[in-house]
Amino acid sequence: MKVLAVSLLRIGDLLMHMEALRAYLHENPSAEIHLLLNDSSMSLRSILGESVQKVIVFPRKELQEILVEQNRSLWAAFRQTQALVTQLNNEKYDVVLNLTHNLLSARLIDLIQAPIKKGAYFVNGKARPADCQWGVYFNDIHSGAHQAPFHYLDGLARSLDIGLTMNQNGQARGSRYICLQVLTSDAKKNWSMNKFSQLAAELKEFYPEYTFVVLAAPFEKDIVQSKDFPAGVEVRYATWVELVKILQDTRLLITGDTSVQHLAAQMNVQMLSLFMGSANVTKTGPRSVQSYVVTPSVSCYPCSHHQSCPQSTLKCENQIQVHDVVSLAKAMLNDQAYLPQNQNLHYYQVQNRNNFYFIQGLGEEKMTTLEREIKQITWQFYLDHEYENPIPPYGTAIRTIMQNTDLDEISDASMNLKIEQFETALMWLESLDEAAQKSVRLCFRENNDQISEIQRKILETYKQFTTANRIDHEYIQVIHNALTEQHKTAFGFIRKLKSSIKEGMQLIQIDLKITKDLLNAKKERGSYVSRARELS
Amino acid sequence: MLSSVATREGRILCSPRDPLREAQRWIERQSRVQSKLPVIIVGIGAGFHVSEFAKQNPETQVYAFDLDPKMIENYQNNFQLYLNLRLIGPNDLGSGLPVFPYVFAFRAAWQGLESEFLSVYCLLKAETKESFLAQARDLGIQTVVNFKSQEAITIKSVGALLEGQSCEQEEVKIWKCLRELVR
Repeated sequence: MKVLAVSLLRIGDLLMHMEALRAYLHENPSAEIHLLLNDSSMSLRSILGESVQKVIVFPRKELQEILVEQNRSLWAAFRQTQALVTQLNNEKYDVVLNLTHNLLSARLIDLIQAPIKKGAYFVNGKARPADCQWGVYFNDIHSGAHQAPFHYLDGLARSLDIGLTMNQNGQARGSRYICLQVLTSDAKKNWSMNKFSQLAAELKEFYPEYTFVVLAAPFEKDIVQSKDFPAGVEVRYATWVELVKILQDTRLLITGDTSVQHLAAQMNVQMLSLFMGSANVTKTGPRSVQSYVVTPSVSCYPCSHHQSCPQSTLKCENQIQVHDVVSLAKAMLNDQAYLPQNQNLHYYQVQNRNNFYFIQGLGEEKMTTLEREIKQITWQFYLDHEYENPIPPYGTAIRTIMQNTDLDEISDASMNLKIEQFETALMWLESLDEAAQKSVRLCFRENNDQISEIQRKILETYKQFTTANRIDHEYIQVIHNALTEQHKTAFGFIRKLKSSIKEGMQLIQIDLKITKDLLNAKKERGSYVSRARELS
Repeated sequence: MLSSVATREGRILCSPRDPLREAQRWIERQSRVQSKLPVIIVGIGAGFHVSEFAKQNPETQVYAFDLDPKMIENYQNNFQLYLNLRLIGPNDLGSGLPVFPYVFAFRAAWQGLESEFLSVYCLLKAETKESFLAQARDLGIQTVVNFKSQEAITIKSVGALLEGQSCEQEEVKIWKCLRELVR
């Protein structure tokens, strides 16, 4: 079976895609995988391993240059693309996997002939609806700026029907290096190099047995060279092959949201990731169990990937101080539990929950962690259609949660408050559904120009409700999409609105059911415990 | 080095002071050329820039065009003919030449024939409606891109023209795909 995997994003994404491809190959051992990647990602070729049997280059940079530079003919770009398409079609692929999930890749796949195509793609210029609920989720929620309950790779893999697992083996424990990856691809995601330097100096005093290595790519040499690092700290401008060798013997990697982080996660290296700017701990955190992520608590974090920081100083970067990182790194190196000391920061430990990436907040309200866990299970139930089973496996979900969470530490009152909020939300969604129904009639009578006015009115109601009630936006953010997107027809708008209301209601009902069951289980267990105490 | 034929109607077709430095600065201003992709220089004139460019890009197939046969002759008499260089005149256009990914203009060599050179330059770049269609013909494509007026031909204008158009043909799909690269 010949498979073309299309990975046309950046290097960090390609590294994550490789993990999905390995899982795909595990499920389909006879697959011969060809990888289409950008010219700018070719440096990774040396470490792609045996999973990929052929690499085909998409000359993105060259094509962009032809298209925008003055002294080039558009036909040159056309001819080059046509030649690539011919080359791909001559391979006669059985399956095309779109790991990229953008318009470019979806349109490119429209040009490739294959009996099976997975992921986003066009058919004769028209977007094809997603095959599964995970695909819809990945397109509607994960690709946007919304909060997401799952890691990018978990969402992507499931949207392609790839059974991705998280490594259960625990941490690889190299004994030689403590590595500092000092730069990211975006200035607003960088922790300052001065702080990294100070961090190295302080940690070095406590752990002289390790070699401290500052990692940077060869093209970052000019930036890194201009900074002073403490004596004895090695600076390595490593190629990918050299980097793999270093990481194999690394005890701890301290990094931002970088491609090195994703590579290290696949090697199961323990990491301390410093996430700021647009680095989103849920979407792109280190998929390596027992790694830690520190994030700021400023209200603007995480910001949009596409905008530069409007602040005069990077507030989020300022919030993460050297001593915060030193104390957490020491706990990690000593294999000790960590009790957060800076209330202005959020600390998370990466865990494996049902083969999904999960972040366990340290020192946060137990109810907040519980809500996060229930939310993830709720989405799984919804996207896997578990809730439609004659006997939905709620019991298993409750048991899993109870294994991870000590319900005694959560008050009945906080759970009851959440139940109340969700019941209010359900009632509101029912009324919104009625309003949408009335709009259907309006739309049939009036012309399409009325849509934006109807959208505006409903959006106002939406905002009023979500502001007044602390309702979980992730369940109803698709409603927000329907109310803010442009729709070609009134009918299209109403259809999207009604389906998003339905989705919101289903998600809230699942969450409500789990929360109520947990509360009951907690009460029952409480009565058993008190009865046992009486008997004893 | 400057011979008498490097002028047209009394105008010198390169820098009278330092033509070599002019040639080098011109080369620096051009986009970085990827080897193995053919380049055409429109305007040979005194020839310094052509000679330098061919010398500095030995792996690139360089075509140098001039409307005036005397300039071609002048080049042949005064400069080294590198293996990667081919000199062409008006009769060579449209006779199996490739579509050039790079079309470079050396405007100092156009003096006296500016509009004629500009037409050739636009033709090679497929920048006008006629030249766009001419290149499509050369490539054996019956293009669906049909500009109604003499608007500037850019990937945006091609994309806008195809907006909403049925997308069953490979050509339309490729243009729409390319449009995504510069959004």
